[in-house]
Amino acid sequence: MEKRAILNRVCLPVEDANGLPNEHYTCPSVFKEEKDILLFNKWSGLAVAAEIPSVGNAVPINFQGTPLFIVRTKENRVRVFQNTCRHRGMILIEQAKSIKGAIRCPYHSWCYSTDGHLISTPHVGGPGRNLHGSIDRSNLGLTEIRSHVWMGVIWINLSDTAPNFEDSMKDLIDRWADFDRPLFHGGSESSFTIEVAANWKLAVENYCESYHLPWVHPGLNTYSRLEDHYHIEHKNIFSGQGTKVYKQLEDKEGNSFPDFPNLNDKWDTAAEYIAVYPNVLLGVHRDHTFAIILIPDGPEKTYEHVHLFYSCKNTSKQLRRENMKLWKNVFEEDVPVVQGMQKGRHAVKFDGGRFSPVMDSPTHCFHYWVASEIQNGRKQKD
Amino acid sequence: MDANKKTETNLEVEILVAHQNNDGLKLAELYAEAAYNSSNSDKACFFMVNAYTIALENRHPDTLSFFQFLKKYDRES
Ligand code: FES
Ligand SMILES: [Fe+2]
Repeated sequence: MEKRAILNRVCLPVEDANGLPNEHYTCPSVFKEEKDILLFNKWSGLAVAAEIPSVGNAVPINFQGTPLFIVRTKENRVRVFQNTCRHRGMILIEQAKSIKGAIRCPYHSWCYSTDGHLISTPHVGGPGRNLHGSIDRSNLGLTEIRSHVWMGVIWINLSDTAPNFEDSMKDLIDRWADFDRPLFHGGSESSFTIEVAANWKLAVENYCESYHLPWVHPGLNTYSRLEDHYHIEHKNIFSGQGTKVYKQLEDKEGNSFPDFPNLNDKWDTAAEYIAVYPNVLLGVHRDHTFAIILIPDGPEKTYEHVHLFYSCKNTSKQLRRENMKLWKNVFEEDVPVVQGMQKGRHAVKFDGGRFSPVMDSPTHCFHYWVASEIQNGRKQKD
Repeated sequence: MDANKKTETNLEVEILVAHQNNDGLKLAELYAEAAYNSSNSDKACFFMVNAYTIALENRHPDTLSFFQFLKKYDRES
């Protein structure tokens, strides 16, 4: 069957659809295609703003081969720039640092402000002369990458073609308006990275559904049973699951994390877990949220950077540690199945698989998005 | 004359040491000193450009006066 027909089949209603074919998980050229169409053209998660807590903090990040850096400007704004000098293309920031004044290129010392303006060009007009008629500094600022901070995550649109973040994500921002407030990253007891030998999309797909809970997370299932879950599906933007029986973590004395203020009553016992397409997995609870940023490293390897956030600065370190342990355990339980699905996709006769029409629709929602975006991207190319 | 030469050499050594130590604030000051000691404006501006650049990077309190020095000679704007 030709590629288009195969992807058309993915886009059928869940009862009739097949999953994405193997090449979307194993093939380097499809990986590259998806990188452009699904990651660069959309709002992708890059990092968390907590990585640059203070004014002047700058961190270089290589995003799918593109050297970038994130910086907290003098005006206390998070901004993202291409990490490349406008003179001879030298990398500007090699390692995380705190910028006191200007960003000075290590090669010929052109200087940029933290908001990207080129402010000095030493000796550019000859020794002792910083000016030259053909060097117009106002046109030689750093190349900025569109960015937006929401739920503690720095989102970027590399292609510069996506609608504004607030417009793109409006329905989700509205859905979770209760959590649209300062979130406090829990520090070193609240972040960890899991490396999985699998395509990044399998991490999304596994996250979307609750079907696997009884088998893969038997511990969770004792208090968060399958029948307490509901699907969340929003075509082309996000999908996931919610639970109606969230119970707060408590220490021996019965203390739990403080709630976010002014929450709707629904959140007393509800929690929601949503994959925001393409690469960010979010979770919200009355007393903490988390974000998992999926960073693909080729078609068959993914880093999952996990970060937990709380409602205030001074939460108990001990409790944070316990909460991190709990989540780490859950996410690590998923690793063998995600890696197993990756291995399974090397079977040449695997046809993408069939979905449970009842249990798998959030996963199919994601497949539909991938398939239709790829179809559109290919059409535009032809 | 001899004494001056010695100062220049000393300054050079100090500049190299500050470079090695990555001591930006000190380095800016040493370059400025070299500028003020220079016998002509071209030499002075050469050193002052270095002083100003390093001062910018490190937020040296004299950054503005270094800038004004260069501006006076039409070397910066
Ligand atoms: S490459 Fe950056 S100043 Fe020359
Ligand atoms: Fe899971």
